[in-house]
Amino acid sequence: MACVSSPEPDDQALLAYIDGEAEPEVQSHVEQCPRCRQRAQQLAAVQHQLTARLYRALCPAPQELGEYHLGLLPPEQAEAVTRHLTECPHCAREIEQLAGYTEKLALSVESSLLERVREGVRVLVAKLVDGPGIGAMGRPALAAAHAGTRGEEREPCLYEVDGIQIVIGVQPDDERADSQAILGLVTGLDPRQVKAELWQANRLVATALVDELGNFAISGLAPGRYELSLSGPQIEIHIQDLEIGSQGRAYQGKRR
Amino acid sequence: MSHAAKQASLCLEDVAQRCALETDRFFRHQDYDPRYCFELLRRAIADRCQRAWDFVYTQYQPLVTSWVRRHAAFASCHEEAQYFVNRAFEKMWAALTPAKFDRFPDLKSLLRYLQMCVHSAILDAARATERAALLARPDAGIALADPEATSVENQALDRVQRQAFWKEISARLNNDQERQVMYGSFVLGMKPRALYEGSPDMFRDVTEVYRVKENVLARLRRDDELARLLLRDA
Repeated sequence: MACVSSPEPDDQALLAYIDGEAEPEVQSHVEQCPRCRQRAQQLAAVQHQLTARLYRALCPAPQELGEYHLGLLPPEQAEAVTRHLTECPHCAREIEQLAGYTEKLALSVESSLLERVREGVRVLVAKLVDGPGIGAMGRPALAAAHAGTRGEEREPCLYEVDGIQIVIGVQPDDERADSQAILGLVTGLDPRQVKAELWQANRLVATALVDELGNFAISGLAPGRYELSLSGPQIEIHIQDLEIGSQGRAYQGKRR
Repeated sequence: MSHAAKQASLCLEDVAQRCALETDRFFRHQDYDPRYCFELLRRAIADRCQRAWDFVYTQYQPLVTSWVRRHAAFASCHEEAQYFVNRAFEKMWAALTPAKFDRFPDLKSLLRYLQMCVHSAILDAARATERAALLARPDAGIALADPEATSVENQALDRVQRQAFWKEISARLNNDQERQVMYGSFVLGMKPRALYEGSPDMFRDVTEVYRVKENVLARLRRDDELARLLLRDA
């Protein structure tokens, strides 16, 4: 079989053709020339054979990479992995994935609790004692600015633990259509350095500082199930399964 | 009696029960004591107690399942979560010898290692899937690996064989440029343009990368011994 027209592309041009990087005239030649197409296929087959045998042949196993990441490898082995990482984007990406993965798990509410318990922080779970469907009880009033914007039909919920009371109200977000805002008031606790965090599916959604009167607000929330935590230097209070409905109502969800 | 001495004096069933109780308190966001679970893991790993390990598995299997489901690559592996849970526990059991246990000062560090084992088990599968796709190409000249070939032991054996093959290739390379081109092209799977952009000091332009690749491939294709190696592994 002869080449259909000279000059016949050399192997270098055919390699570029296989990679999709050939000049247009080479591209067009190979498409019209059975001989050069066959040569390109043979070259591609050799490359595939080599790739199949060599691809990532020198990469450390995932377990070795993991132990490297955790600082558990002996120094010589760790040095070899460090050298490998400078030239292998695949392993560098896998290490990055591992770091992100363990960070994601560590960021979960459960893991952060583990840390805080170890640090001697009091971790408490507040219970719903008053709210829609529970019946009226004396509850602290939300700050005037908050109460003034609260819809009449959206009654706040009152949570309590260890003499600490938290009132949670929900109202449509003035800034964003279809979003809701939480207005909260905490009493029975020194509000200085207390931070409110809202979590959803183990992901931190929003953070707000509690002011000196115990008020806090979090806006831009989509309807859904959340967990609220209020954390100060020596205390952490959780309100679990806080459901925010599309009509701006907060209520205690069922435990899953 | 110190707390550690008290824990050591407890029977295995009591340690496991306290571990379950404390874990339950932890998930209810109540104050809890992690030392019983640490003691359970210590007996399993440092004392190599199989019964303790069975308790560890029972206790942590639901948590590990949740970790598997939250891994970004889990969905694309097309395996049941339970498969990776078992692989992760196997890896931890195999890798953490009594001598290594001293490097884990608390429960958190042990659970972090277990998380790493989950990641490692999922990556084994992800790498095997990627490689099976390469092997499956009709022009690769290699039969598609059967499912057994993706087991951890077979992967390790396969890695050794492939490293030996790279040594054969390396022995046929004449200089750093050739090594860079072959390593980048076939071990890392990079195209010549990316190779040039990654090492602009080594090559004048992309054409030079293609020229080096062409020369080496021509030499390897003329090499009878290499051809025999390729046929033997096929």
